[in-house]
Amino acid sequence: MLNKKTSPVLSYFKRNIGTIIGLLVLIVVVSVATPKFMTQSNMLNLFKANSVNAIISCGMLMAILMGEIDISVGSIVGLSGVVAAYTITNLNFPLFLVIPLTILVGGVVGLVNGFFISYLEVPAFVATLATQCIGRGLTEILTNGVTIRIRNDVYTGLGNSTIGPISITIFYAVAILIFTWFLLNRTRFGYYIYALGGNKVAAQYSGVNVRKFNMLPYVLIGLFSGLGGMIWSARLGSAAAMLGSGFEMDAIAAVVIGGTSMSGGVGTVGGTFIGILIIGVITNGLNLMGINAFWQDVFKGLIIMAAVVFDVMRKRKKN
Amino acid sequence: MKKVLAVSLAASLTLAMGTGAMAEEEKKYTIGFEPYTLTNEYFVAVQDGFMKACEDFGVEAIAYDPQGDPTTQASQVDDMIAAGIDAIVYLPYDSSSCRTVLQTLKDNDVAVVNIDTVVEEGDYDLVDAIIASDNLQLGHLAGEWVAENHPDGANIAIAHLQTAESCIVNVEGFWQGIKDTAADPDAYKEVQVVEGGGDTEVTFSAIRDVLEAHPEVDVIYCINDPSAYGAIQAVEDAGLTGKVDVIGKDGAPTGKHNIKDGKQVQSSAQRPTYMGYQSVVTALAILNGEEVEFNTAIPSYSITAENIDEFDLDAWDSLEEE
Repeated sequence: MLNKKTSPVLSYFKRNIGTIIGLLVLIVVVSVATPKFMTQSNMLNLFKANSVNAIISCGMLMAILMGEIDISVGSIVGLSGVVAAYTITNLNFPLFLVIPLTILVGGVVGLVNGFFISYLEVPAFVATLATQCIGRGLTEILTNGVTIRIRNDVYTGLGNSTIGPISITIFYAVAILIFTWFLLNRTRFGYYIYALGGNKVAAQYSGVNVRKFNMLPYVLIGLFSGLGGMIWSARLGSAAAMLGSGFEMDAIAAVVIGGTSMSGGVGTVGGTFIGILIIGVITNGLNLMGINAFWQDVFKGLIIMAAVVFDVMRKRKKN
Repeated sequence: MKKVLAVSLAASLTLAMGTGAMAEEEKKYTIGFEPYTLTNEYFVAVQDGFMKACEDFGVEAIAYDPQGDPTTQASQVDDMIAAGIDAIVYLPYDSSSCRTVLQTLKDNDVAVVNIDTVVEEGDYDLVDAIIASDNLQLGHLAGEWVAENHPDGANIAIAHLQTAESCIVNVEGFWQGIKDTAADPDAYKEVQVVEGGGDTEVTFSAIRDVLEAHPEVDVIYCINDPSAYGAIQAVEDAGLTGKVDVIGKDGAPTGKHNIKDGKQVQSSAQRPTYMGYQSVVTALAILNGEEVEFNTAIPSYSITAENIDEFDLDAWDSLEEE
């Protein structure tokens, strides 16, 4: 796919030049506004704070690449987190059961999503809206509105330990980013995802098992979100009914800002990574500057709008 | 022998009918409970108190859960009227837009006890009694704690829920409490106010950033105990354990456990169970034509490390507490 003569670093910059400039401008503005931004401690905090969004965005990227969407990810984070807290605190399950169960819960919801979308041809927005509601309902039933505490140092360590000065959650995020990059760029699976988003009918005629490859990404999204639920419940040492609500919005924003086309077929992990950082710097920067959180939403919205306009203009130029 | 049997049967029958009639003479009231959601443990505690009182006084109870939807709440109130309630314990979804519902209740001669979320003053003519927490005092107690334990002043961050009127009053009360108690109120500085949404995870993320910008923070005032839990984790995450005092609010089980564990310093208690119980007592008094206090503010009390052992950690409040 890449021109072999240009270096991958150069082509990366070329491809994402708009978002990279956007990120740099943002960083300069925030750094000038507050000296607290460019410190080692805050940088580690910034990456840590966005590690779960990075993991979920990798999943969201796959859905959007297929020209679809998954708005159930926030509910899956909540459900997995609550399942972890419930099985540890209320049922006294051993951790070697709890951890796989927590992540698998996400996989099961993802499987349901994928099955309905791919085999029953329910529109992705509607199918995942349904599981979003069901998932949130189940977290409310399990918690009964009460925050469930997790008093297990080994489990909370899954979110709170550090390797050197770097939080373990950053390592999870890096692993998922690399995994997703590899999947999308070096495997048949990834090739099919792009093909499905580009032209589903053409993909079908060329012999791709469309149903199967349309379903599997949702299982991965579910597993990623389940991991997100594990990380958050461990970091907070608890899980509440509203855990993860709204997470889908930050993930969609990161993917779209990263230059992924909502109609599918176009987008990269590298671009999404920059999108994640832009979202992260906005939140962190405005917090450091002491600006009310309500403004953060306004800024995020403006930047999403700018990214989409940029995408539309680029397409028009090509045509 | 047959005759004796028949007579005794007839006698016991008339006796049974007699007692039945006697029970009917003592009119059995039906009271409806309409919170705006039961997905929040606080409202579950209110309902527990309501149910307990209905049981104690032999009142028939009807309770619905509109799950945070004001339109559902309005239609459920209609259903209750159709079911023949005599009084309703009403916790409106939105204090400013419930006049039509109140009017419907009035038109059907249902006594209204408005609890927790107080209707607007312009609608006072349509309610018979109001019972709510004293939001100013809840904040005041926390402010007093800060003034007493940081006599030389403090840098204060606030994890707010800016969309809730009660929380705005809480924060007002908090500063008032410092002002009324401290020798030098000017030594207490508001470093930053963040939106925590009353939620553990949202507050965690926001406070974590605040601690980067302002490591000099001494006190974090959170408008409820779940958000205080998030602040506690953020303090630990920033490596500032022991240097920052986290204050919650409501006396929720979450907050009590954290006080017991030494992670949280104070929580001003709300009394949802008591509120639910009192609402029935008041409704019955109104139905029996007795004079009742129109507007009751339930006094709060401060829960700290010193008195935490007096409380049941897993419950909100008990009816015996004063």
